Amino acid sequence: MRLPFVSTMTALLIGIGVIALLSAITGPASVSLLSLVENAFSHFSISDSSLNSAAITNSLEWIVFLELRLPRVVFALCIGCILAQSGATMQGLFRNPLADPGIIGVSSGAALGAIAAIVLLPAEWKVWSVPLMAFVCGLATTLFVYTLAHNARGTSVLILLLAGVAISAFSGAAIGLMSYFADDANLRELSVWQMGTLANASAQHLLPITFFTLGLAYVFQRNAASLNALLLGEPEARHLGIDVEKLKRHSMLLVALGVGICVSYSGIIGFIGLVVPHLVRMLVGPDHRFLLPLSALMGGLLLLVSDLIARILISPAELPIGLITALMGAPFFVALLIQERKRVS
Amino acid sequence: MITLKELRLFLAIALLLFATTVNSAQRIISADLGATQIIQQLDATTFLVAADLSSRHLLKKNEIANIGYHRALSTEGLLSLKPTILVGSEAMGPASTLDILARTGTKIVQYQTPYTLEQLEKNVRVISTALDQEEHATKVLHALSQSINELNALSTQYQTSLFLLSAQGGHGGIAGMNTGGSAFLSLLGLTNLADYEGYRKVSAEGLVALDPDVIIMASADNKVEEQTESSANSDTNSNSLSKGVYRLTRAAKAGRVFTINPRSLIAGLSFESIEQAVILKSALAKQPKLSAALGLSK
Repeated sequence: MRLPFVSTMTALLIGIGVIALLSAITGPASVSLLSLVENAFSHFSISDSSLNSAAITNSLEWIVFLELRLPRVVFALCIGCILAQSGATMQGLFRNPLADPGIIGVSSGAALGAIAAIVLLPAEWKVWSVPLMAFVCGLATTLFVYTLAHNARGTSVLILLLAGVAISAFSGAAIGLMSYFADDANLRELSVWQMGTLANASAQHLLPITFFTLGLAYVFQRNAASLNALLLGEPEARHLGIDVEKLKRHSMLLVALGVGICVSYSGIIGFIGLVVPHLVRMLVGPDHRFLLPLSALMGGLLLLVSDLIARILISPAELPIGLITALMGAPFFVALLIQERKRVS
Repeated sequence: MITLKELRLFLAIALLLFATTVNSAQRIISADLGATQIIQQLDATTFLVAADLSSRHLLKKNEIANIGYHRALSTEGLLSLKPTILVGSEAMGPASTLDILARTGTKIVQYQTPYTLEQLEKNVRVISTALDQEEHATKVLHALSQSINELNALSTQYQTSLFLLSAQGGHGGIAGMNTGGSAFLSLLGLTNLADYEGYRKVSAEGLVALDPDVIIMASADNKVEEQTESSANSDTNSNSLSKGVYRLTRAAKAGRVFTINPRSLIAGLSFESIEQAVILKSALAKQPKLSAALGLSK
């Protein structure tokens, strides 16, 4: 049974609202909402007094809410949205339910770039070198794989997938080699980074990541009808007037851009891009006009829940969020496969 | 008119309030095993409210909070503990966490991981000053100085060595420069033959080619083991270096393969590692072959 799009979207939006609120008021530090509101009121009413204003903005509750929890809520939503939409797009593009941004080597290319920045570049550059290298290498990998698979007759999906496997293997070996030569400090840092974290979420990056996510969601959505046509097969899509080559090129660049940004901010967070589109497809069917926005919302919701668990499970310490998504996603994926096997048999 | 009973009650409340104020004056979080060890030596563990994963074995596990891995500290988790001082090595982070803690009034005390005795002494001074425990520090530094003198008074005929991380059926890496293992070899007056940075895996053949006079293994077995020529061929010997090509090394042949507690070197040199070095160096100074039990087990 399929659920109506509007009801599903409403339910997801309510779910996001509830979990976001819960996330904003839950954590190891005790923060009173009432006190926050009072602080905010005082902050705006005494804006002429810089001394008092500074005292309020340096208060524990203010810092915990505005600089720690709010950025994490927004980052979890944005990164979850981007990863899930990227997964849905890749699955549509390759007409393969196992496709996710990792399959054509985008994630491993981005990871290779970030780890190269951690191990090879000076430590004082890390603030900008890690995100930049992740993005550049993710994009370069995508272009390389695409160029390899593209010929006069079009783009071979088989070569794309095989090139992705090769790139992932190469990246794995290169990361292993760098780990071998890395010093103790770098080795430990890249271990933490590979497990994924939202601890780097900062108030300064809130607006850029929000606008980027909204922009990307809009552009992904514009491809929804074309991806639907592609579900029928490439020749059929061409007959329907879709420029398949342009769609592939465009979609892959968008995915590379999105995943590069996500990896640079949060390290490697797996399973969102793979599991969420499956889940949404089960609920509302394969129509990309609905699949893409609902995947975005469910991806955000899932990452929000994962982050909440990561923050409170072993408080005051914190678990890497990538471990939570993998622990939740892998059993779910196995359950899906078992269900699918029963259905087929 | 205040009665005697009321006066007593008032005094009791005042004393209780005073005691509470004094005890809660310092709320220390240790984000490094080295810091926890120094805080213990300074007799200031009562002020500890939390410690990182590596320090847990030193403290009663459920008594204070666990802040996890020192390179991935949770900002909110630390803030919730309302610390007055956060102590840790240069490795603790991330920087954004330290920045926010500093802004909320927590004193951040950071030091270099001690790979030399001078750095260890410096760290004791830095931490004791931050904790207002200078008096205790004098005693600690005096005891440390005595151990160092004892260590320096010993001399051995051996020169070269390797420090191995123990692993099932071989070794888990050999300590190069700027590691706790290499620092431990320096304490013994031995030259580390591994001249690279960090820990690396070296083949059995490579280890035989390096042929050190002495081999030190960091192992959870936590025992000093004897490796004699006769025991090297024994199948019952549990030490992996007694088997295979490793037995061809000069150190294994002469029974100069020793095992130390790896925890004593997690955070660089420590009081415990100096104790172990004194025992090991005195044994090396006396005779080339050691008896099986040197009392290093804790």
